[in-house]
This record gives sequence, structure tokens and C-alpha cells, in this order.
Amino acid sequence: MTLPPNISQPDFTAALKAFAAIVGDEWLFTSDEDLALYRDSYSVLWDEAEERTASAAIAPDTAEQMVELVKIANRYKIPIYPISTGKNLGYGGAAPALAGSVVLDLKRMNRIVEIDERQGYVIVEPGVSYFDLYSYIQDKGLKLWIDCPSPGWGSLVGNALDGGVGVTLSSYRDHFGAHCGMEVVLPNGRMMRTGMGAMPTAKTWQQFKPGYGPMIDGLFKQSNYGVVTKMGFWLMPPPEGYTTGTVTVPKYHDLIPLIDIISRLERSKIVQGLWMLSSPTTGTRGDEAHLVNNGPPPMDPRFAVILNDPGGADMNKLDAAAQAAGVPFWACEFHLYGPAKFIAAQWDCISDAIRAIPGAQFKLNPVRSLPLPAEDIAPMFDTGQLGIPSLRTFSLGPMISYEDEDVVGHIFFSPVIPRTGEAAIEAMDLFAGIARKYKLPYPPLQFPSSIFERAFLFAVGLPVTRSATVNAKIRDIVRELVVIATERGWGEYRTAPAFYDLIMDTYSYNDHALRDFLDSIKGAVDPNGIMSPGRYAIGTHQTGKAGG
Amino acid sequence: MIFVRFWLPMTLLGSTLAGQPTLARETPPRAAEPLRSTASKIYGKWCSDCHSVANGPGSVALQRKYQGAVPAILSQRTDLTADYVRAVVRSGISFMPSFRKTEISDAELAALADYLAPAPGAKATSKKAAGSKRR
Repeated sequence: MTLPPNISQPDFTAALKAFAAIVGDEWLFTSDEDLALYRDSYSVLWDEAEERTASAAIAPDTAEQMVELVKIANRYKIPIYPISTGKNLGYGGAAPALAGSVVLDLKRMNRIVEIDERQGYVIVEPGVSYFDLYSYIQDKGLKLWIDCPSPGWGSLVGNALDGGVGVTLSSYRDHFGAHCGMEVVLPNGRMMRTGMGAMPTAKTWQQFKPGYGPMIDGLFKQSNYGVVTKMGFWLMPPPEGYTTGTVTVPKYHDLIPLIDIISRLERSKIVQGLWMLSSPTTGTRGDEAHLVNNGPPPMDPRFAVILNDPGGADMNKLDAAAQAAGVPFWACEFHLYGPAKFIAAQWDCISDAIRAIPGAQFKLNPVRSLPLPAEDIAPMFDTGQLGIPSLRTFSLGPMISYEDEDVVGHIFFSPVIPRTGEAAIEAMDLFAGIARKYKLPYPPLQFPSSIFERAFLFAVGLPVTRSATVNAKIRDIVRELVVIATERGWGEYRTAPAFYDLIMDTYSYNDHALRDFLDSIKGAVDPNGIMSPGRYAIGTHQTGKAGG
Repeated sequence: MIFVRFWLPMTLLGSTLAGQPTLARETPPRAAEPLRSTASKIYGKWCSDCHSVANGPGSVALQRKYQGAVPAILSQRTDLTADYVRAVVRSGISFMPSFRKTEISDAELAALADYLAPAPGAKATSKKAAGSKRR
């Protein structure tokens, strides 16, 4: 049996006995076979000395049990690591951040505590997945939509707390931003409610985020200051209709005015859905590049020779070839929601604005009434835009093998870059260059994502194998990417546990003032250091620097 | 897509219970009977989105692996054994992660294995009740 760091065998045995008395023997896991289920299937440290594995796992059923478990953890100084559905693949899975921690598996806490169609909110426990909530809403025939990430077996609570995002309207895509009120078991075992929930008779816990006094909900995002046991989320009404519209612009550098115009439309709330960049020169829309049923559609040979140039795709050559062939360089697909006349008005406004770019062309697809028939949904690459959870994201096309090793998972290098054409072009060139240098499975062109409202996400997927040698190379590539991105002022929004410290170190303004502040909070609220030690590299440093 | 309705306590629509610390206890106790009824529903909840359509990620991976020597759609396979199904669910394979006992219990997994690898003579499409185990 693995022991938690600095814990004696008698203390650990006594703690496990006390834990079992709370949850029942059935829900305490200590055998090697059971603990293997708490490994991160996508760990880039698989089978290496540094892989973070659990010493035990406990699956409580209620927040009240959680309170007792946390008190026991304090009594024996046992590091505990709560997970929600344990499916944060690529960002840690069900494994702890610190080897030897006891995982608290909250999957059994799967209650939809409250759902209110009239006011459009839900309160859920951590074990509720997007699939669960979607099924519940369908079964009850409630007029509510969810905004889900892909894959849909993730937890609403866990995804929001890890900074996750979805794909419908901008205000719902930011899952932490769309939450309202939470219940937290603090590291001392005390239960707290944030926002209006701090008032025992509250009637507006899910209607008014600020509450009274400081807004502290953000302290529980990507941190280790407590276990969130309930969380409220704002839900949207089902849109009356849905469609997509595509704009094309002819030239490579048209991207710069295009993004400026779209950004202005977004800030005006005229563009509210996701918009996706792609290049018709690749013969496919960006997301369709993942479709591998019959392989991606063949590229036009005139473009393929440039895109597949071993020395790198020269965008100026591609630009010239596209114009010579009369193929627009850029396409942008907008997802539009609402009554047909509202979509028509939005499209008119979008078209009027983008028409400023010479040669821009517009195509609006017919507005479809919702819900769509099942046969129309079945062949879609992703159903997330329709508020329907799926697992289709696992069709990550090009990632089959790397360095002659089977790819068994992925991690993401996920920098946030400015929402400008210049930054997009710079990032595309830079990351394509790294992919070429290391022969990574990478699409010929990769595009920034508009998933955030005012910045681009440029997520570079990297393969994970079961070879320590190849995984070590991937870790080196991540370190190189971090250096390059940090030099340009591009920070990561989220990362795998293997890189928590590396990324935290990049947020170093004024000699790590932020990190020191976070560590000070940690020391104050968790003096025994039992809550998710190592998570997001909070509390892992020597603190107590004076002044600043 | 079809997903089994997870057993979730009924909540009071439109009423606000927030603020009552005993909220979680006001829901009925968790059902003690075998969860999520039948094996086909377990399959529907956990497996089908990747494995029951040709363009599902699981089907694509199996097509690539076996090149058509066996059906890419899992429920059409006749060569699976219950032990193999159990091992893959608990260990993961390729892009498919492992599944914990809090997600798919041992009893549910036995039923699922039985469903995907029916005893000789049984139809591959038979929908056996959860809990019927083949040792």
C-alpha cells in the first residue's frame, strides 16, 4: 500500500477506518486493482516515478458526509483530492495532483438538487454530468437548454471549476461565468454558501451573483481552497430556431479586418454564437478535419503541394495560389440562434459590416425550427451547438501514432492570445513551425477558437503514448511551447497536472505577487495542507515574502 | 442519442429550497435496487455514443484496428468474451479511458459484459435484465 507523504502506517490505517465508518466499506477503495481506476488514463507521466497515483479512494454520497471526511483528514493530516466525474481527460482525469493523496470520488453525489424552468437555473451536485442533466431535462420536458463541453460525461461543477467552456451563446459558453452561487466544504470541515446563499432564508441564491461583501466564488476556480458540493448554473431557454451562415473573404491578410469587424459585432452582442474560422484551401471546414470515416476530403493538389511542403507551408504562396484559383482563403462559419426574423436581422447586420472587405461573400443556410429531428442530428460532427452532449470529440483525427507509438490520449497546450488577425497569424505560423520541427500529428492549418468572448484560445493538442521516452519528448515540447508563448505574452488558461508549476511560474508579475497571495490564502484556510495539495501549484512554494 | 435516465431525486420545480441546510436530505433515499435497470441502458449511457454508429470515435478506432475483419460497431461483434469486456472497461484501451466502480459498478459491468458477449446460443441482440451474470 502506498502511504501519503509524511503519514505513518498506523495513522493511515486509523484514518481509513474512520473514513469507512462514514461512507461504508463498499465505498472505500484500497486494493491495487481498485486504485488503478484512479490513474489518469491520459497521463503524460504514465508508469514513471513522477506519475501521481492515489493511496486510497473514498466515494461519499452527501455533502454532510464530506464534512465528516474533511474533519477526519484534518485529524490525521491526510491529503485529500476531490474529483467530480473524474473525466477531466487531458487535464488530470481521476488522479490526484500529489502522489499518495486520498481521492474523494464525488461521482455518487449525482443529485439535481433543484431545477427552475421559470427562472432558468439548476443546482447540481458534482457527480452530475452534462449527459445526466440533458437526460433529466428531456425526460421532464422542461424548456431549458444546457451548454456542454465535449465530451459530455464531464461534470458541470468540475468543468466550471477547471475553467471549462462550451459552444452555444457567449454568456453561457463561459461555464464558471454562467454559475451563480455555490456551497463549499472548507478545508476545516465547515460548510459555507457563497453569494445570496449566505442568507439562510435566501430566495435569490441563483439570481444574484455578487451577494454581499467580496465576491469569493472565484477563489474556488482552479484552486485548492475547498470542496464545492453544490453549484448553481444559469440555463438558457431553448432557441426557436437555429442555423449557420458562412462568410468568405479572398485574401490571407483579410483575416485582420475580418476579426476586427467580428469582434466589434460580438462586443455589440450582434454576434452571440460561436464562429469558426477555416480555410477553403484545405478542402474542409476546420472541425470537419477531425472526420476520419473515409479520411478527410482530398485537398486540391494545387494547394496540397504548398500545405504539405516539408519546409513549411508558405502562406504567401498559398495566398497567391488561392487567388489564382478563385478560392477564398478564409471562411468563417457563424452559429445563429433565435426566432427566424431575429436571425435574419443578425445576418443582415453581419453581412453589412463584413461587406467592407472587398470580395467578401455570404451564404445563410435555411433557419431550422428546433428541436431538429434525430436523423438530422445523427451525422453531425458535433451536437454541442444544439445543446446536446456527445462524445464525438474523441474523433481527434490525426492523432493515431507518434514516433511509432500508439497514441492513447492527449494533452493540450492552451494559450490565450489576443483577438486580432495579427496574433492569429503569428500563432498559426509559430505552432505550425513547432509541429513541423517535431513531426507532430497536426493539421495542415490550425485556427484559433472564438470560444472565449474577447480573446482567442489556441489549443494545440499533443499526443500521449504509453512510452516514457516519447512522453518525455512531449513534456519537453510543452516546456518549449511555454517559453515561446510566454515571451509573446500568451498565457495558458488551463493545464495538465504535470505542468501546474511550470505554468504558475509564468504568471510572475512583480516577483510572483499573485502566487504569493494565493499561497497566503492557502496557509490561512488550510493550515494542515490537506485539501488538494499541489493542485494548480497553490501552496507548493516557500511563502511569506515581505512587501512587494 | 439515447441516454438512460439516471436515477435522480425529484426536485420541486419552481420552488426555492435554497438556504435550508437539510436540502439534500429532503430527497428520497437513493434507490437500493440495481441501478439504471437494464444492461442495454447501461450500454446506452456509457458506450453507445462512441460505439453504436459508424462515425463514432470507438467505431472509427475499431475499424482502423481490425480493417473490417470484425464489425466496427461493438454491438454487432460476436467474438467478444465477458472477461474481455470487463477488462477493457476497467483498464481502458487506446483513447478509451478506464471506468471506475462509481461510474459502472461491478454488477452493472457483469450485466454489460453479458449483454455484449452473450452466452453461446443466445442472440447477440438479446436484452437481458441487468444482474443476470454469466460466470
